[in-house]
Amino acid sequence: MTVENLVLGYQTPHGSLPALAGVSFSLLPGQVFGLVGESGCGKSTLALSLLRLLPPNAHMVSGECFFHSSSGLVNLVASSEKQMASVRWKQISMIFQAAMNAFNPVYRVGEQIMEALRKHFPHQSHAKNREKVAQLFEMVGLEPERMQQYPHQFSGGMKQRAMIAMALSCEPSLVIADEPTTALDVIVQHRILAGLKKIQRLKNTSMIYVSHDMAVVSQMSDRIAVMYAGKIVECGPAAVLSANPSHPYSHVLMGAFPDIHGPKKPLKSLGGEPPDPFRLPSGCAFHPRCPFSQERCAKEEPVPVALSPDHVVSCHFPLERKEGYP
Amino acid sequence: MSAPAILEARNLSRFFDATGRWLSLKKPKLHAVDGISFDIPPGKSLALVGESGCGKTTTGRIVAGLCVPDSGSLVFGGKPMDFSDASLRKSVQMIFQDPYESLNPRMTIGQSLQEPLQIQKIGSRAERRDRVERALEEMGLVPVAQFVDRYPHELSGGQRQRVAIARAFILDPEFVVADEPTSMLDVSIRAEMSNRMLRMAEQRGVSFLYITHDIAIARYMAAQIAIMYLGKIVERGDTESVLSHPLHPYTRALLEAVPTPDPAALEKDLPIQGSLSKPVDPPPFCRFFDRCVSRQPSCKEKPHPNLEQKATRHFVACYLA
Repeated sequence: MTVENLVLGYQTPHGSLPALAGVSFSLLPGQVFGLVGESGCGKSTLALSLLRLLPPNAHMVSGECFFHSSSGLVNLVASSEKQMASVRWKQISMIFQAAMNAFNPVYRVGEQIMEALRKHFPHQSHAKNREKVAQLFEMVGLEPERMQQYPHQFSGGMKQRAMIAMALSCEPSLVIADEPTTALDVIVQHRILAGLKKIQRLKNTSMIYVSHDMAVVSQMSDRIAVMYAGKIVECGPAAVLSANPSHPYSHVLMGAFPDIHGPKKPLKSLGGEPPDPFRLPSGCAFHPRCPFSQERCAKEEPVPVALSPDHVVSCHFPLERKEGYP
Repeated sequence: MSAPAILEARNLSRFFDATGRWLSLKKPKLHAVDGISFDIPPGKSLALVGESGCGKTTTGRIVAGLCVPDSGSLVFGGKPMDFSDASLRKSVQMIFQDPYESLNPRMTIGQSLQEPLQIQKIGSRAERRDRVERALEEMGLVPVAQFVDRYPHELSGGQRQRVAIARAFILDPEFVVADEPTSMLDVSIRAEMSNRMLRMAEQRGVSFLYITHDIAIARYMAAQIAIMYLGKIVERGDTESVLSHPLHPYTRALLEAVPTPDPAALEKDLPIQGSLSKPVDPPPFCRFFDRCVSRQPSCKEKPHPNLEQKATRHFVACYLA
């Protein structure tokens, strides 16, 4: 998948609200791409826009999004609703944040997953579908007997697993996971992440993993993009970004979570608030909160600079690299 | 513990009615908090850590006087806690999780902040105004004039939580119950808020009961930690000692589940089985038995273990530790 210069806004009573201001990235088959940032930075908008599931007041200004589907190259931005319907779920599926509300309460959970299978594989027998769902349930760590149960009989973590089973049911080549574990306790979170990673490796699925938690994203991803105010400010290999980020914002995000290992360090904190999208600061959107900002940052918007072939940062003064890193 | 504790909680219990079988006469009981005890020394903080539904919020509400325990006693500053005493209510304050719901939407920030002062009949109108302004300044809500006359809906989540913290501290309390005060906030603001609370606590010698599900933030905020599981404290002690040498199998599982940037961590199985249940009419043996990976048949024959001291200021409730 390749996304090029996606610009997107929401129509509001107060005018157009810019949500994505030129986002580009590419994703290789079998790779996990992590998107990190705070609420309102555009990471969920980006995830939803790839499947064109945005609310009606969103409008695409420009940009291109190419997806290598089984039937050739598709431009997700320009394709018809009918084409999109064949891509959604079968080729690209999504795990939503609020799994609690993603299931219809009056149908059995297994039935709802089979519905997706029926829709996309109309010639497959009922028995085969049932077997498939049972397999999926086992894969995500749910007892197959639970297929007969209703969503209210599931706990939050179980619903999230059922949601993952549903997202994988049509064996998509790309799964978009939007904060799938945010509302869950650590033990359940660990299990779900471990399960997701195992299946992803087994099936060689590509994945876009969206979260605000830098630790979770670095655990899951091969590459990470850090978003701020509708833009990707830094993008590179997960190991480099988590150990040695170059953008001051990535640096703060990494240091904002306390650690349970090693010596106790003071938490890095940022003054100020995430920017108001109606009144974005001049120059670099991060400069009012940046501990290293200089005069130039307020005037000139930084352009993405490649620090190495696969590590790009948008900052006038990227942080020095520590010894021993490429 | 050498210094007399500012708060001593002994055998606190609180049961709730759970939904039972249809038409059954016997009402099952949900043991939200089941006979827990802890001390908080003056100026020190205790973090209460556990998964959702373990009873940590109920414990916090009991200690703040928002929920009456079914049994147990609370001693505050050497005297039994009596929440009808206004001077006690002045020294115990609470910070809630959700800054969107904990501020009255019809009061300006200034009104919200000076209300506690008015109720406690502190100062003249001008003095109160002065104090409110100082409190806002301390929390970095400057220029103050821009905030006093605004309503909560005009502020961001982070600003609201700062107001909530300022309000908790405005009466110069000795003890503050903070129930997940940063979990609703954005990542970059969380750290700042934690640092501010730590600074306030240090400067004024305030003790916290810090309730959180995040063991890493617990380490950052408090010198003492108590791990709760289904209404019971299973391990308690100095934070560093508990985290570096966890003795209870549940603590070990919690620690291993904390996400680290290392992808290899996902390949290890957690030392815990099954999933969290509700403590409705719990069985007479160890609460953790069903999920324990090191359990022995003998554990099922004995009642839930008591907390026993295993090292200096380090207690654990496990027969096998």
